Amino acid sequence: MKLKSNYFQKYAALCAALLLTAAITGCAGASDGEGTPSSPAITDNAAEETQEADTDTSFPAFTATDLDGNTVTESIFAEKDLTVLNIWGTFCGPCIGEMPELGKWAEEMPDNVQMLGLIIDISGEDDTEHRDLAVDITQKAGANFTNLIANADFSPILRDVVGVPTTLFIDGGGNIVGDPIVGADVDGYKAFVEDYLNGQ
Amino acid sequence: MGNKPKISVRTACLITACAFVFYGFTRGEAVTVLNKAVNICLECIGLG
Amino acid sequence: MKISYAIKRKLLQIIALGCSNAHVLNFKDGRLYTGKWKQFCNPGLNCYSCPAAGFACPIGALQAVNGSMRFSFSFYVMGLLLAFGTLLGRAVCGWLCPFGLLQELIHKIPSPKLHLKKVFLYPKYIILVVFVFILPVAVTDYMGMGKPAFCQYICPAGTLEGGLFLLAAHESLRRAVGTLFSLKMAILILTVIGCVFIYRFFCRVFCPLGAIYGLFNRISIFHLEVDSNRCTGCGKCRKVCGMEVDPVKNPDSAECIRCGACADACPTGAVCLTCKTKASQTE
Repeated sequence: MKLKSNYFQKYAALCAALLLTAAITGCAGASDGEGTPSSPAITDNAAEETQEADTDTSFPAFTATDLDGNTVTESIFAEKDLTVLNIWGTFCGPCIGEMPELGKWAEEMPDNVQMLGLIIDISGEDDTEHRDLAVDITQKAGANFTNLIANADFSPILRDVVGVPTTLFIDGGGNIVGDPIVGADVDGYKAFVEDYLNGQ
Repeated sequence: MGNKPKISVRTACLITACAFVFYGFTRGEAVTVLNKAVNICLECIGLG
Repeated sequence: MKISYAIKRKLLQIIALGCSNAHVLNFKDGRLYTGKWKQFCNPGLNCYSCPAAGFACPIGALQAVNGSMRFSFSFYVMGLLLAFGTLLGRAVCGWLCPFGLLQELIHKIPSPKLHLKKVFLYPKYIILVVFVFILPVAVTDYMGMGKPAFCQYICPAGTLEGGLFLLAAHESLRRAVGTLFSLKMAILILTVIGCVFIYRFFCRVFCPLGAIYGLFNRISIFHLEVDSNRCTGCGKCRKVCGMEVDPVKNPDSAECIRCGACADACPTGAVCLTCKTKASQTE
């Protein structure tokens, strides 16, 4: 029916216009990059996807506080031949799930390897809610290793972090070695550490 | 179902819905939803 | 000049797809939208790990709250579902759900089209109760956090909208793919194949959201009315129904997605989709 197809074309055009408008308004909103209060470091929508960390990329310098209130800087990497950096958040089920195993491994690790945590959803000094939760998690998990509270210094690294848990490996010189492991895979972390130490 | 009971069930449901949403919102459930929704849920996409 | 329900509905479905997935630029970087709108839920199934998604998925949100450390039951999301259900019932599935639209498009692929045995309509209720309500609450870790069991083990919408697009954008995620992803891909492929042969295969057999909304069909404000004075019993409505419902016998069927195909097909105009109640109609 000819009449019907005219209506159809009009409606199709209207609909395409609406779809386009929705898309454009949606994107305009996205470029505001409005982050949530709980993960300030990973919410930069406008950031371009930088290349995946190559080997020998050095970890950016930082000054951060750990959960016990101590100040830590990138000099912590020099203390050991290899640092396993586990990036996690208090919202993340798998992260919390692997914490006990990480805590146990941290104590059984060879002397030249250390475990370090980086918590991404504590938004600042005043965010006692998430800080207390993180403390609760590490205590209940028996994870006694140092856990850093992420701040803007970590942005270059966190920009490339797609989801948590993500685990990075850093040598004594402060360089990231190997590829990041995404997802809770403690066996994978252990395998990498073993291979790395054997290759030294 | 006749009309009168149907209308009262609908009204009851809508009132309950408003009450639930309000209560859930005020006790912080929406923030929980937001946190889950804005961080890539590795579990949801099949990577555990 | 009456526009058929078929056309009106397809347009609204496309608009709903656009509105729920407005942030299309995010596909390039594989980033999610992180604004405050995501605390609100879509009425239909749309994974919030989809880069373009602007709102939260109601089933995902339900599991997130049920599985959280602080709560075991979500009043907020249940309230939203109660509201959507009372207003629209399963019309959400028929008019607003992006995944429903996808299934309909897949079904257009030429093939023999099959009937679905009635027994297969029940698994979705079991999936709803077990994976969305029970498992996130019952199976928790030492912190009281439960897994989003439906999202994690089943949902093909998440595998497609979240999984595939994010994997395409991030090499680190591709390296992380394991057995769980293979399981979810198998479910996605099964869903797609099923939809080719059976109309809205996922909706009818597996969807927990459809299960919830279907329960509201008996009382939903937007519903199906059959005028018994005009009905000649020709059966055209039943024959054209994709969900294999008989609108005359069962206008409030929990399987009816209010697509209006029956209303379009009715030669006497006895079947219609309306918000009005029967008494006010025959006046």
